[in-house]
Amino acid sequence: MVYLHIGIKSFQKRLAYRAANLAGIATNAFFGAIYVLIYRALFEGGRIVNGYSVDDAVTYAIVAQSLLMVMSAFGNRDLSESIVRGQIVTDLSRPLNFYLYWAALDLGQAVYYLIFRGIPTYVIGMLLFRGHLPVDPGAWLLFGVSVATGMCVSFAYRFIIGSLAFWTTDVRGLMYLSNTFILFFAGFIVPIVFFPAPLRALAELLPFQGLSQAPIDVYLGKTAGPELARILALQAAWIAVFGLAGHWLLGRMMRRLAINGG
Amino acid sequence: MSVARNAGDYLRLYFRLLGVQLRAEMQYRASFISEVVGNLLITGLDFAMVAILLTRFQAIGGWTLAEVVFLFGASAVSFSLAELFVGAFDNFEQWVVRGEFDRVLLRPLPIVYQMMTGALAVRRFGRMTQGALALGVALYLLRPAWNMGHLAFFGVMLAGGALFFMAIFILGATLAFWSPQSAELANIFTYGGRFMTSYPMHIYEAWMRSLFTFVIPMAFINYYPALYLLGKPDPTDQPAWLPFLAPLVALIVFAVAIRIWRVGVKHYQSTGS
Repeated sequence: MVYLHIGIKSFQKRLAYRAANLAGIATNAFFGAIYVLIYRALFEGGRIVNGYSVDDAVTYAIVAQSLLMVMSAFGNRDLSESIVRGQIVTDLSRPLNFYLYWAALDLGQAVYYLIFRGIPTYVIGMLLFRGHLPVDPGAWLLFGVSVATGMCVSFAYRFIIGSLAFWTTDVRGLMYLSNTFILFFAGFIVPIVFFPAPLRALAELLPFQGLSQAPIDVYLGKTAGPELARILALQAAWIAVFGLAGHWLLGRMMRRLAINGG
Repeated sequence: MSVARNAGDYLRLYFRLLGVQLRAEMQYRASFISEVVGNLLITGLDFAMVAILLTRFQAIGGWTLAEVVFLFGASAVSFSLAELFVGAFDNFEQWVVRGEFDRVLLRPLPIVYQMMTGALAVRRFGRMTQGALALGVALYLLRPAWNMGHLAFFGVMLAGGALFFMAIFILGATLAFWSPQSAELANIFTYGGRFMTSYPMHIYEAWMRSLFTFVIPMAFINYYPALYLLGKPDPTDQPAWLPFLAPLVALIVFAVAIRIWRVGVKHYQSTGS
């Protein structure tokens, strides 16, 4: 299948940046370590806060740092840059579904980050700080499903933000706003379980919990069964909404491109 | 060789170039404004973290919310001052990769001076605003009984911290002369350093504390000065005069950074395109 090949190419493209990735692993591990030590100091005295023990929080810190790049939590400029630079004309003239083409590029990169950034960061964190390690293969499978769902949420949302570059050629400010939103409501900055009640309620309606809090709760064995099904269904519904919105924007974009073309 | 003859020339030229930069950025007014706002928000995330965690847990290592906000604000103000002056060093690997650094070498002005005016990102005022607000809130809540000496030392702390972060930015950029890709390592010390210094140093493990006190002395950016300014006990058992070394430490680190940068410049080979 052609999209699979595109995904693999996108994966291979990242392989070229080995030194940058090593530096990235070191950075993720450093931030993870600081988070772990902050949580250890906060939980002094062995208390439980909103169902989280110190071990849960430490594990959260390790896994969240490992997922950060997998979920493109800092955004991704590829689509908007290709629009601004005009590269998009070549992409659109390919006999491919443009949306799936970008999905394949994006997910290929996410898989690269999972293997070469996420797993090493996770292993370092676990060796240094001994977080929780699920033994049940079923738990790992559900964790995998949750991570994959999160990747799709992230792509579907970022496609919309990136394609706005068609209307305003400088989307950097917009990206800042959007990244802030993702980082915070995913639970990458602070776990959603520590949010004040109203913010937590809002975060649990949004799909971004699927990037960090939801998969990590699965990892920790805190959500399973019907509760997990509900959370995944909510994310699937959001993916559908984002997907439709993305397609609608794409349609308008095509019409505009026809006007500019020539 | 330099076309500027004295400090007055340098200063005039600096403000001239600053004006050029500002006008250039203002050409895209909507995106300029949205970048300032976006920058304010994204740096606000760090503040949100402090606020959420400290209201949920009340204290960390014996420090209250207001005290941690003071540390955080001091670190943020110093960092943003550094970013304001030497922000161009943050993406320096791009200058090397694209061969833009050649242009700098050709001009008759000191290299570091040119870099300082090269990408003065006014949009980065976002972080500054946020750090200043945090300091204001912390001081309002804490109401420390300061005399003029304390106040002067407060200023010295912020300036010293800024100098320290400038040194880190410059050292990070120097990496790019050898390996543009690994310049990302600098993030550990720039952004990682700012993150780490937002919380009291004694919560970290002993070996880390020693590393960041005696080898890469980031504990002097705000932690030791804050112990004195807020009258907190020192759980690390250092002599009482240690906080006053902060400005000296910052100067030494800065001087070392400039030295190493110069070695890097000598080592530089253009991309040749």
